[in-house]
Amino acid sequence: MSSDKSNESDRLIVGSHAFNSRLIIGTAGYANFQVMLDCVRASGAEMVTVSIRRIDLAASKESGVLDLLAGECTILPNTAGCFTARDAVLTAQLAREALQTNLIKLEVIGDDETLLPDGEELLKAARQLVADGFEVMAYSNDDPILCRKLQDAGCAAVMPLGSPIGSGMGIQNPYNMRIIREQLEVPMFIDAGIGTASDAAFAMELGCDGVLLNTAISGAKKPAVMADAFRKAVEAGRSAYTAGRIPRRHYAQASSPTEGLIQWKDS
Amino acid sequence: MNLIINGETKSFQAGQLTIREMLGHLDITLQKGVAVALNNAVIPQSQWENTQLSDGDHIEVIRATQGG
Repeated sequence: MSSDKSNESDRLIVGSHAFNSRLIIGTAGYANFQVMLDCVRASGAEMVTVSIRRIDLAASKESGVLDLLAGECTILPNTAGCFTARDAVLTAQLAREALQTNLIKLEVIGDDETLLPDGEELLKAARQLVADGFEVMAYSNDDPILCRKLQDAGCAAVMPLGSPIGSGMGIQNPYNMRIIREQLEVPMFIDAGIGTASDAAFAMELGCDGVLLNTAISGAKKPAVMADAFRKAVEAGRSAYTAGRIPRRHYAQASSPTEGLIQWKDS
Repeated sequence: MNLIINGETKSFQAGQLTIREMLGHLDITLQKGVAVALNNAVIPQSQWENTQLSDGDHIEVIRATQGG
């Protein structure tokens, strides 16, 4: 039997890191730590993202997300909540010091209502962080030109949004996603907007290297079941992409052979 | 001296204080997963012992938390 079905060599490389899973999940919004852990495990994610926040001076001894996950996953700190390049760079530097990692999910937001990236500040922060030795995974608009500039700035991965954070609206501009995929050489993730498993499968079928999501799992009625669904969807979408889909055609084409068709006697 | 830590003003009896001593006073003994910025500059853990704080300094003490 052919071993074509095996994807063992299909590892995802981001900077100096290699992964078997192409799903990255966020750690926010779960009912409790146990649900979060169950979801991380069910999703098969090998990388999870965390935020950097002020320590609660009254409760600094309580165990945190890191105590639970650092042994299981690669931790990807993010700069969520930053509105300027300066704040994002400082937050990334704090994250590196706290977590001893050069990886950073760079988010620089333009406003509170849309949470859309501020391209100008994002690019500025990306350049500074790359120069400072970071492996930058940049959360971006679905703008092919901005994505190309982020790659040229030296980002380890570029992560355009499918639709706004937490909106669950899926991939709203697949045409741009195809262009972005064709133009980039670094890994490309869809980050944000994923609503359900088929959105993730579609992202992978478009040729994306991975998917990053949070709310679609943490906000589901049965989060761990949804986490499992996303694991399967990302794997299925990746397999379909590598297998190569059939071309689209406007008219039918019979799948059964026409040769040997029975010729009935005219009545 | 007064220090502004995570946005709150805190008073300390000591006239001189290092970052390490300040964290001790705050009962923050964790080292893993914690980072400190002094007046908008990150201070590596290796320098906590010998970085002296001054009255009015702004200090951020952070940790990783759940996020997406």
